[in-house]
Amino acid sequence: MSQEQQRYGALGGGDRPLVGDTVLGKDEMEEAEIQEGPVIVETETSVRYLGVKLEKAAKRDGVFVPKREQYVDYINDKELSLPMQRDIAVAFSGGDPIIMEGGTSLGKTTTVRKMAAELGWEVHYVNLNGATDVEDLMGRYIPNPHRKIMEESEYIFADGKVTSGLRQEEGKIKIIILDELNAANPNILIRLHEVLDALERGGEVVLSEDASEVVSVNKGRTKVIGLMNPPGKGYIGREALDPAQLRRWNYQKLPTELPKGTFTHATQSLFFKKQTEVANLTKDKYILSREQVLGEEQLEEIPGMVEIVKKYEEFHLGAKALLKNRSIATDQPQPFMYDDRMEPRRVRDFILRFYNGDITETMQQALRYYYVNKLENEVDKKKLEELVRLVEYTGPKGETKRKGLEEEGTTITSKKPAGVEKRKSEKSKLEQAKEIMGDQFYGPEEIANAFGFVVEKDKIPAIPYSRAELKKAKELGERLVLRISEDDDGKAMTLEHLANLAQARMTTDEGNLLGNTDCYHVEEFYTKRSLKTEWKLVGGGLLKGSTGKTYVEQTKVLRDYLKSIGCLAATEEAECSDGNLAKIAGDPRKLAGLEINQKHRRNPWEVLYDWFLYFKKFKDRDYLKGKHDWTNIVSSNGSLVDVVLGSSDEACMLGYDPDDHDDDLGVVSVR
Amino acid sequence: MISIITDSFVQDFLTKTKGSKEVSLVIAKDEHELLSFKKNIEEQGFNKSESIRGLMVAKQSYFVIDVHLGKKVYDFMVQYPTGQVEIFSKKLMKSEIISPDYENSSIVFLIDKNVLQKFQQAGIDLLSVVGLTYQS
Repeated sequence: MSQEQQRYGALGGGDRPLVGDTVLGKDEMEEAEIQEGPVIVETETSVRYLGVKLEKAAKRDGVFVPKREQYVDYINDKELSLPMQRDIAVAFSGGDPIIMEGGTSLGKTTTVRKMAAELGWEVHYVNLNGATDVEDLMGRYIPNPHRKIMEESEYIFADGKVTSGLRQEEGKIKIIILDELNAANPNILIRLHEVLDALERGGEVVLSEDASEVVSVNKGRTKVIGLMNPPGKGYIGREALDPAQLRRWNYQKLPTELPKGTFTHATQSLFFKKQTEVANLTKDKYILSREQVLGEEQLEEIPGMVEIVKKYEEFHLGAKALLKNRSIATDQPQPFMYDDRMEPRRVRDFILRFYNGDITETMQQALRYYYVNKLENEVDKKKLEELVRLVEYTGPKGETKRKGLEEEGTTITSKKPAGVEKRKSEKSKLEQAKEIMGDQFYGPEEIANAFGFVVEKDKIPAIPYSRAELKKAKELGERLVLRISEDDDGKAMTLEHLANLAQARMTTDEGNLLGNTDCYHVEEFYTKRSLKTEWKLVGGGLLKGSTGKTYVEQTKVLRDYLKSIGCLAATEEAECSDGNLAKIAGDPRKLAGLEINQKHRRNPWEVLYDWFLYFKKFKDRDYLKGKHDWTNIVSSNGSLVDVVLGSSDEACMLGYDPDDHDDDLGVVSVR
Repeated sequence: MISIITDSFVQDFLTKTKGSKEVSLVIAKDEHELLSFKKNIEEQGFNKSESIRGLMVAKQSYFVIDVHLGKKVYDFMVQYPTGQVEIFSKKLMKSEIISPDYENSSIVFLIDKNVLQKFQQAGIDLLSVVGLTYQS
């Protein structure tokens, strides 16, 4: 088992698998979290820290990426290190700069580096204690070390540590650690805040140090974390930051001393190498990332939003008053504010990323994260917590507080136990989705009709799309498809098994699903890779403008389409810029491995599964007939595989070089 | 010139530094003691490193902290326990990344007490970022 495919416990021995030896699907993962408590869950492409999901970098092998083996004895504990990782992950997932202030023995830097090791992210470290020179951070001209002839430049500009962290490189995600931030000279802080402003705007940093060179920055690709000890309190040279500057940061207060429970836990783990109790981490410690971030326009659809926003406004004013009247945070030497502009924006963005179907619960999580977490002592936290509890949506009597479709993705943080009530509402949500999608809905009934077995209700995953998203999908001609990872006998839905199942369900008149399969048996994608259980929105045909194009050109069409409908992630966009695509145009594996192609093209078994559901529903082969869907799979001989339903009405798979093109060769989008 | 007691203490101290996740510090009260500590440390099989980067080459190595190197030394010490050390050359504007081998390494810094005090006054608090510390 590779280290990148393991799921490991939250205690010491970070590489110790607890269950299974395969990459977990989303549903298995969430279920495992609910049942087993404090876990960090890793898949091939992401890591979840108490539910908060961060994507791994596509390129994880640079020298700046910390080595995983350095952290095998990293000790996770429920009081400090797990919540710290979760809170860092919340900030990183939104690209927000975060400051963590706490005592020197808490392992802040180690924790960030350990997370970077898991995610394959680069770390660019700067310690600001004693640093006096802005140019060390941003760059300066140095004698050209490569100069051999007079015509070559005598001096060249060399990036500083911060600039190298800001530069975007294909497939890389970088963290800039600004350690001992509050020991920095004021001129350095001013320059760093210019950088933060540029990151927030998603704009450019002007390198005044290099004849005003402009560096494009992207907060999806560069994460910034400031670490510091409390000013005073025995720490030499630390000055309190100006609260007006601190507002740029997501400020999180950690304990000054290692909490007693953490100390005991760590000591026990160090001396006895045993796994102490892990199952008692309560569900409220989890914050579950949504699979798809909500659009701002969807906020209005959330039941109770108007009422809860009003209560939030009251809460914000109340929290400010407590701070102003010195009822809280009196013992904290670092002054801070609850900012009228930044805090509401952060809370809104939190809801967009973490809304779990219960607006009260999500809102209260956000308030704990952005307000309560700024406080150190328990008495202060309790005072503010009393106000947090007032921010709830009560709703008309008898009305559910949970939002229709959204509820399905939210089981982790739900206070309601899974049970009959939940099952009833899920059934209605399926029906809602079916009602919206009409004949473009492919759910349990369609699976039963096509394959002849019933998918058990508890194996049907959450529908991760809102009503608005489904309505939009319907307009775009997309289909909502339920895919399942195994049949009713528990056998994995590989392409080979899928073909056999489908063939057994086809009548003589219907012919064959696949033609001669002899040549496919050497391919891993035919015999081993299998479907995941998930709902997907699949294009209703080849994407307009995607035919007659090379693989690169097709990827651009896919990119532009996804962007036009607001479904292109920043990381995907950065990775598939025209320049980057040109660089890898001849490399099928790199092209297929692009995030956009992995997430938004289908693979062959998905193509045939989707097609078979359609075929059995409508008794019609038109969809895909004579059309080639170019997939994200590379065959053993290095060709990019497509699937076509040929003139003989049998599907087959062919391989193309990246620069091939054909009038019938296009791509079907999936999201 | 070098007392037997000091020999024994230093020897005992050095054996405890092996496998530590933090660097160790030996504080000499003056130049004279510094020279005697150097001799002791070398007799225990430690190699003198001429640069901070060089500390990672040998399994047992030590470095004498110069008054001009406070920031560099501090940056190294503070990063060493975190699993990754980035050493930045201001001259070349280039970073070098090192992953410590804790299990097999022993890294000792040797400093004159006067130099240490200068660092402390300048806000470079070496004592808060080292592990085992020895002074006579």
